[in-house]
Amino acid sequence: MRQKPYIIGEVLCVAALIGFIVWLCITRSGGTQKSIEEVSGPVVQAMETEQMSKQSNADAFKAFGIDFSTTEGTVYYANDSVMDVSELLIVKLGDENDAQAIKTAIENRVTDQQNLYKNYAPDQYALLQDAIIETSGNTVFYCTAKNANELYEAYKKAL
Amino acid sequence: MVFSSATFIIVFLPVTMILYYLLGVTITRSVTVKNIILLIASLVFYAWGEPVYIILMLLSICFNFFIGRDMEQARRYRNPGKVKALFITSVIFNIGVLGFFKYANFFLTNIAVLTGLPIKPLNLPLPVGISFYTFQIMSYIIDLYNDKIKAQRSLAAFALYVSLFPQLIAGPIVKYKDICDQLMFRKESWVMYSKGFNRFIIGLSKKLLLANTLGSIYASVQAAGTAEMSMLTAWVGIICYTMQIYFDFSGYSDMAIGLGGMFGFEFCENFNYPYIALSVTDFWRRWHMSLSSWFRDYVYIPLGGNRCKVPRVIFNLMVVWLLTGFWHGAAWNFVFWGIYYGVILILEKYLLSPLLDKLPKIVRWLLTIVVVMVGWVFFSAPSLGEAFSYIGAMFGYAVSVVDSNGLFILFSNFGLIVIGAICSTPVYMLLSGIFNEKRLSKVILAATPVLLILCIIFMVSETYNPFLYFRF
Repeated sequence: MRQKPYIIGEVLCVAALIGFIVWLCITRSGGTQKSIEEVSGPVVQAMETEQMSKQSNADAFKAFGIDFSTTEGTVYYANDSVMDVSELLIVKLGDENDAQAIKTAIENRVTDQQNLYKNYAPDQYALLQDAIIETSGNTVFYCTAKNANELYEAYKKAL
Repeated sequence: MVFSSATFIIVFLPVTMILYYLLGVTITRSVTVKNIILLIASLVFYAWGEPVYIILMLLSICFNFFIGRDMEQARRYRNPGKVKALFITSVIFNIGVLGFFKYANFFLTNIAVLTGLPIKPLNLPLPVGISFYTFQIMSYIIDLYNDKIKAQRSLAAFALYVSLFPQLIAGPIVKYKDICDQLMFRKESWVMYSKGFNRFIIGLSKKLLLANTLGSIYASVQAAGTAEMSMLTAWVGIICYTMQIYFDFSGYSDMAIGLGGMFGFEFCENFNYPYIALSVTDFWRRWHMSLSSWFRDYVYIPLGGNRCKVPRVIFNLMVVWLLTGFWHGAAWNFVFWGIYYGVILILEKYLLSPLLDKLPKIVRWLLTIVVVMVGWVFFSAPSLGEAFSYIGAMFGYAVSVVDSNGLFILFSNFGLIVIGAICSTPVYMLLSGIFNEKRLSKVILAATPVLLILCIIFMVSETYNPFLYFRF
């Protein structure tokens, strides 16, 4: 019986794997190496007029139901007035796979806030409708504020 | 895709089940058709969250399939040198792939810190389930090399072994020798199906009703930060995490075993009430049994196991536990967690065991559970430093012994903690000894729809809650 040349399949698999890894490294390793302070610093500077104050991880847990102390870094600002929905959340993750969980929690938070403000604070409801929730590699950005777009631009530049 | 999501329960599972039983079991009655349906479903299941990494899994499957066939061919042509070379190639390939995707960042970061060189980490997302399916593939290759099994001739069957969706993401780690017959000949039955369905619902309830709720308590404790934590808060937090990780992981295993049963497979058990263990050695015979047996069969015994001089046995144990820690994650706290168990098991084996045997059972249990809980601190903490701060708070280095926050958390969740503690014990076996077992199983059968409805309510109202073991 003739020997089957399995070596061809083996070599092709290894070659394809090397190609896959190279492609992955070029296209997917988009995570930032900067610290949370470096990423959030310019954003916080840009929001000086927004009257938001820094909140603790415990406050962030109350708002989003996620324990942010397990992330590489979290910056959470919110308006102290219950009549103002302005918020800024920037999270740097150790594992990019967690981004979806954080994004879902933020989306739920926005939906809850929308239900709360819909009938009696249309201006706040409008802000929530324009909320920006974006993930970029190993960071997640969420902002509800009058100048949310400006803050998002500052975040993108800081990455 | 996760088992505890509406997409899985309402869409994926019913569709797969209908196709499998209609086309595979009723119309064609062909194992090949059944395998292909399950394979396609498994690939869709895996690709749901991260479609790119399916390429990696398929390449691993194809490469190891060819290696397996090649090894068998080389053995048939009496070429042991080639068999060995192929075996080594495959081990390098599998360890290399796992090492690159799971550990490259860890090593690069540490090299950069040690040398001061400007090395950038790769920051690639971890392919879900890579540790589990790589270990399954390696069990096939190692057993094939040791001539304990025959090479799989069907690529579809081999691909199904690696990718079978019930156990693909978080185990149990099924060894090929335990399942190879079932891949080619299996008989589905209503008894297996109903048992599997019940087991699935029990697992789902463990995850949604217990693990997620206990997890939110622990998260609220952690969110407060160790600096402001009282001793009581620290203990309540870690007790909740201890139960959360058990219900989360054993719940997943129950679901996996249950789903396997619904498709005619019999998977190995993964848990045997670990929190009733009376020693740490006993705990590890009951916790994640498929991983322990993998390391025993493919690392510990080949290194010489117990049949060596004491220093060598100690070395073997330390190697196994270092690898076990490292398998769980590329971080120093996991490495430390592995060393922690290695040292404790060695101490127990050679020094403490005669002493411990003389103690009352309750004291032995208490000592074991405290050791296990301290271990979970290393496991759950984001860094080694934070783990030590938390342990400090548990053992007196806290702002206070009792505070209002700790009391509030304890009393507002006391019922849940008690239910969790009861469900961590073999209460069913105890009750079936007291009451009529048939009647008891009927009660449990009747409770299944109630549990299912409760799970659906929890599933709809909760946010995304992946299984803890997904990150391994």
